[in-house]
Formats: sequence, C-alpha cells, structure tokens
Amino acid sequence: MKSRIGLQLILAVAAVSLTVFGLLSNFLINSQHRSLVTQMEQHAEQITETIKRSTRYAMLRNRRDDVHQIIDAIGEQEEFTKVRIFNKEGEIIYSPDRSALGTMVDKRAEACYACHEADSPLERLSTSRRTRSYTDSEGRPNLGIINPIYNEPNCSSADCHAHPTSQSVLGVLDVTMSLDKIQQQMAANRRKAILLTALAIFSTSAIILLLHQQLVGKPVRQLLQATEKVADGDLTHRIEVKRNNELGKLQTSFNEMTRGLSEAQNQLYQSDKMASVGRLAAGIAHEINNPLTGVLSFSSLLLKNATDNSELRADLEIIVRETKRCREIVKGLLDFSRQIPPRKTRVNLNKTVKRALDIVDHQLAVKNIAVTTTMKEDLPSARLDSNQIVHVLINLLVNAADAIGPRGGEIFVSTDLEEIEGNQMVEVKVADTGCGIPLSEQNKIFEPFFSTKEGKGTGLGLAVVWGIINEHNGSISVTSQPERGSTFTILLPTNGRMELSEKSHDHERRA
Amino acid sequence: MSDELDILVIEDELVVQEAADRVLRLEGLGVDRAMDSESAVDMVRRNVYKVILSDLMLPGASGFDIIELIKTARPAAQVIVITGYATLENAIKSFQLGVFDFIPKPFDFGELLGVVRRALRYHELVLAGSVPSPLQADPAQELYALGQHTWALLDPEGSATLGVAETFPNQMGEVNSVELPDIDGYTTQGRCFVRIHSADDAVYRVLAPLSGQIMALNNRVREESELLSSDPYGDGWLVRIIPENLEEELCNLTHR
Repeated sequence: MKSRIGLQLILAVAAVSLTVFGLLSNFLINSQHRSLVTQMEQHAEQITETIKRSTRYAMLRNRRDDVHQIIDAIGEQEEFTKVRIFNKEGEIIYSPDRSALGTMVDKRAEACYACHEADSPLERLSTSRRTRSYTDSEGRPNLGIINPIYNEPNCSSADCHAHPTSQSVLGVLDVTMSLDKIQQQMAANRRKAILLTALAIFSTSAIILLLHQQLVGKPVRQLLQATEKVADGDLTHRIEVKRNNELGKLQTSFNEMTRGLSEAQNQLYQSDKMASVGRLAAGIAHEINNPLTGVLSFSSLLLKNATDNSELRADLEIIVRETKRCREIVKGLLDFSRQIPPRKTRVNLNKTVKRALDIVDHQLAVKNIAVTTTMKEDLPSARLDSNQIVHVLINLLVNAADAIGPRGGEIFVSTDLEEIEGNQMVEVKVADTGCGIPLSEQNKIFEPFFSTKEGKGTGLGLAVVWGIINEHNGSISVTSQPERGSTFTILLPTNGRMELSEKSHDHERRA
Repeated sequence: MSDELDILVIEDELVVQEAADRVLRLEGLGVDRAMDSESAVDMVRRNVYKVILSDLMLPGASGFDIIELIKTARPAAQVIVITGYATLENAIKSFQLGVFDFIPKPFDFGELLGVVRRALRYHELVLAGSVPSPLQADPAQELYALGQHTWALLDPEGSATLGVAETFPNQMGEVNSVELPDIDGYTTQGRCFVRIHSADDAVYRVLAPLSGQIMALNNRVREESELLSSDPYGDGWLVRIIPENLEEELCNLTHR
C-alpha cells in the first residue's frame, strides 16, 4: 500500500479493535464459564442430595447391598468420574470401583481438605466451599463436590449398629464430575470469539481502507499531482473537485490559488514584456526622430521651392505627408513607452464613459451600430485620470466598431461595482457583436505592434490601453468567441491603488 | 560687446544640424553650430546670439544646464528647445528656465521657421525694451500663462478659455489660416492644439496651457485673424474647454 496514513490508520484501528474485542470476548467467555460452572455446581449439589435421599432408607436399614447398587448405578453414568462414600475415619465404604473399597482417603486429599484444613474439622460448609475444581492425573478437568452425611435421631436410635449421638458427621458422599464438555464448549466459544474478532478487524480495516482511498487518498493524490505540476510551471492545471468536505475545500482553494498565481504571473509577464518593449520602442523612436527630422525638413523645403513644377510638387507632398505619418507613429510609440503617469482625480466612471460615448457617438451611428448602455447607479467615484480612461474607452469603442464592420451591429457598454480581494473596484465592460478574436490571438492583442487591421492601425492602440490601465493599478481582460463578438472588461480600484499589492511589496522589502 | 550673431544650433545629430542650417540660411540668417556641450559653452561665452536652438540630450551635459548657463550669461538671447523628448515635464521645466519655446523633433520647414521668426522678433522687442506687459482682461477672472505665449482664463462657471498672448501674434507675419482643433476633441497641456499658418510659409504651433474637453471654438478667428493681435484676451480667444485635473495643471502655469 502506497498510502502511509492509510496503513497507520488501519494499524491503529486494528490495535484498538483487537484490544476492545479481545477484552470483551474474554470477559464474556469468562462470565459464561463462571455461570456454567455455577450451574454445574448446582447440578452436582442436587445430584448429591438425590443420592443421599435415595440411599437414606437403605442406610437406615443397613442394607449395604442396596446402597452399593445405587452407587454403582449412578457411577455408571458417563458424567461422573467418581461416586463414593467414606466414613468418618476416611475409609471408602461405597464406590463403583470395588478395588477402592476399604482404602483410606488422606485427610490432605483434595476431597477432604476443605473441612480438614484446620486442626479440628469443620462440620458445616457452604456449597461453594464443598465444591472443588481440579485436574486429574490424566489432565482432565473435574468438579468435585462433597456432601457430609449428618447424624440423625433415626441413625443413633437404629438397632443395627447405632451411631453414637455425639457424632455429628457420619460420613461423606463425594461425587466427582468431568468438566470436559464445558471445557470443550468454552474452547469452541473462544475460537468463535477469535474468529469474529478477526473478521471484525478485517472488515473494519477494509471499510476504512476504502473510505480512506475515496475520501483522503484520492483527493490528496490529486493535490500532490497538482502541486507537482504547479512546481513544474504548469499553472493551467485544475483539480476536479468532487466533494464539498475539507479536502474538497482545500482542492477548491488550491485551484483558486493556482488561478490567482496564473493571473499574477500573466500580469507580471505582460508588464515585464511591456516594459522591455517600451524601452526598445523608446530607443528606436528616439533614434528614428533624428533622421526623420532631416527627411521632413528637407522634403518640406523642397516642396516649398517646387512651386512651378506640379508633378514634383505632388510627389513631394506624398513624401511630406508620409513622413508626418511616421512622425505620428513615433509619437504614439513614445507615448506608449513613456506611460505618462496618470494624473488621478476623483471621477465618476459613469461620466467618463458618457464622455467617451459622446465623442464616438456620431462615428458609430454612421456605421450603423447601436449602442446600449447599462450604467450602475450610485457608482462610487474612483481616483483615475479621466482623460486617459476616455482615451482607453474610445480606443475600445473604435476597435469594436472595426470588428463589427460595415454590416452594422451592436455595442454594449456597462459599468458595475465589484469587490476583489477586499478592494473596491469599478468595472466597465465594452462588448460587441463583431468578428471576435481567435483564442490563439487573445493574449497577444495587448502586445505592441500586434494588429489585425492589416496596415490600418499601428498596433499600438491596445498596448497603450494596457499601459494606461496598468498605471492605474487596474486590469484589462478579454473574452471572445470568433464570429460572435468580444467583451473587454476593465477593473479599476476606486482608491487608485491596490492594498494587497502594496502589502506584498512590503513583505518583499522586509524579506 | 562684439557684433550680434543670428543663430546658434546646439545639436549632436548632424542631419538635424544640417536641416536647421539649411532652413535658416534660406531665411538669410547666419548660423553657427555646436556638436557638444563643451563647444556650445565656448561659443556662447565668445559670441552673442539672438536665438539659440538647443537639444536637451547632449554628450557631456544636460541641455538644461546649458540653457541655465545661456540665460545667466546672455539673458537677451532667446532659447528654443529642440527635442525628441517633448514631454510635458520637459516643456514645463524649459519654460521655468525662461526658454522662449520648444519644438519637438521631427519638425518640418514651416514649423522651424515659424518658431525662429517669432523668437527673432521677440528678441528685437526685448532689446528695444518694449515687451508688452500682459493685460488683465477682468480682475475677477483668473489668468494663467504657459511660457510667454498662451494663456488660460478660468471662468466662474468652471470652464476655461484658451488663447494666445499679445506677444504671439505680434511676432507672426501675415496670417494665412488658423487651424483649430475638432469641436469634440481634447486639449492636452503642453501639446500643440492650434496651428497658425502664415503667408510666408511659417507654421506657428500653439501649446495648450490646460487639458480638457473642447466645448466651443472661436470660429471668428478663422476669418478675422487680426482679432488675435487686436483683442487677444477678448474676441481673439481660441478655444473654450472644460478642464480636467485643473488643480494639478495650474501648478505648471504662471499666474498673471
């Protein structure tokens, strides 16, 4: 078995079951044994009484043969090992075993010991003291019981041999019974108990093993595999959560952690990439500015002087126009790379959205695009650079219009309030019914120079958008289905900063 | 004092030097050139220039250091910053150092000509001691200026009117056309928002003193460009905006 916890659990349960069942069975078997022995004792007591009563008359009449006959008849029964009567002196006077007749029983023998323990023999004993258990020379268990035969007026007055009245005990009836059967039964019971205990331990272990596998082993194995995958850098792996117990919750929170990590990593990767691309762009743009100054100055100078050559003038106009276009691209690049720090003021996002919509309203109407707005009422004001956010929204709206194309369509703009990791965020969504973005391109669209507009755009629009949202400590994401449309979601902290990220920075600094 | 020379171009990039040289010589101006800060400082100490064009990024020193030195040594010289880093911060800092204007790279013939002509005329006014003091249109209103050329007037209703100072049209030649922004557009502080084209091919770039949404344009100046000089703080206004970030942007302006 792979799982050590499972093994430990089973061993512990087995040990506990073994102890509990063992003690319980032992207790039950012992008490059963005790009650059987008590029954046996009572049975023996009754038998001795019966023998005494049945031989009484023969004894009174001193008809010894009759007594012998009775003793013999009883002794024949299998359950009796010994039936004998000895007189006060210890001489066996009746016994089915004729050879024993006349032999003396030692007062120290187990049958006599109870009374003859002290110097002067006891005359009356309780039943329990009159019985004895012992193992005979052949190793068989026996129960012996003695029943004293007391002197009676009839005995002392009988004319036969007349026991003197001073004698209180005339002799002793000693019956010994075999405990073999009880012993066998007990052994059988013990075997059954052991078997049942073993069965109980086995079935409990099996159930625990099964439950452990299902409730602990499997989810823990999944978690283990998932952590290994995450450690290997795969942040897309998710555990399939099947139960809602503690481990299920652990799995869910693991999934959430991985998702959070993945998002954070993605953000970090994006901002890293943006920063390096920004530096590159700034370097290139600055280098290009100087030669561009030469081209633009000299071409515009030529254009000025080419007043009387219309053909040359037309060509030069193109050169000047296109050089000025280069100038705008470089300006855009520099704007992107500089990521001008936002000048934040308390602004109602609804008003900012309204401003953006007002600007592109006409443009959208001309393209046969219907705009539906759903503004969240009582939206708290947020600290943001209204101009930059308007720039972002116009960019998204114009992109949406381009995605919709000449056939027309719909754009949905909505605002909302969200609470993310304890930060109050305002949300704005721009959704369109346009051509959508293929999945493979969705994480590239914010990269500088990535454009799907085939020469129409500079590929900087969304990169600048990303930069602005990043500078606002916000986030921008896209979901899209090709041919059905795209939805851009922007989240901006209302206080203009992220409490959590600041705390984590603190930790880093301290570390 | 030796004879005044016209122009000094401080620029480490040869093609930019050549472009400036070519454009300005065509105007009949004498042009000296400096490739680095050392020779620039040397030339500024030896000669007196009317107008100095300077890059902000120079081998050996920051352009701001040279500008400071020029303004101390030759206060009458008008400095024009030519820069590939035309950020608001650079523009504000330049104006604080007393720079006449700045022109972002790459520029065309008309843009360079426009700003140099204005600087030369302003230089004449400075030498003549006849720089007009800015008018206060209405004492109840607040007038703020970006550099020496554009102003913003805060209206009590919360909007702001933007225009050019009287020094600006005075330095221009005959105005051919005034290029105003789109009515639904925006102005950004420190960025060009109006271009005035003169009859003699110069282009005068007007920098916005405040950022905001444009709510009204003074279309009269398109037809009657003389309003710019005759009533610069009144009928010669250019654009009315709803300012954004007013508080922060006012810090970059000078209160008149």
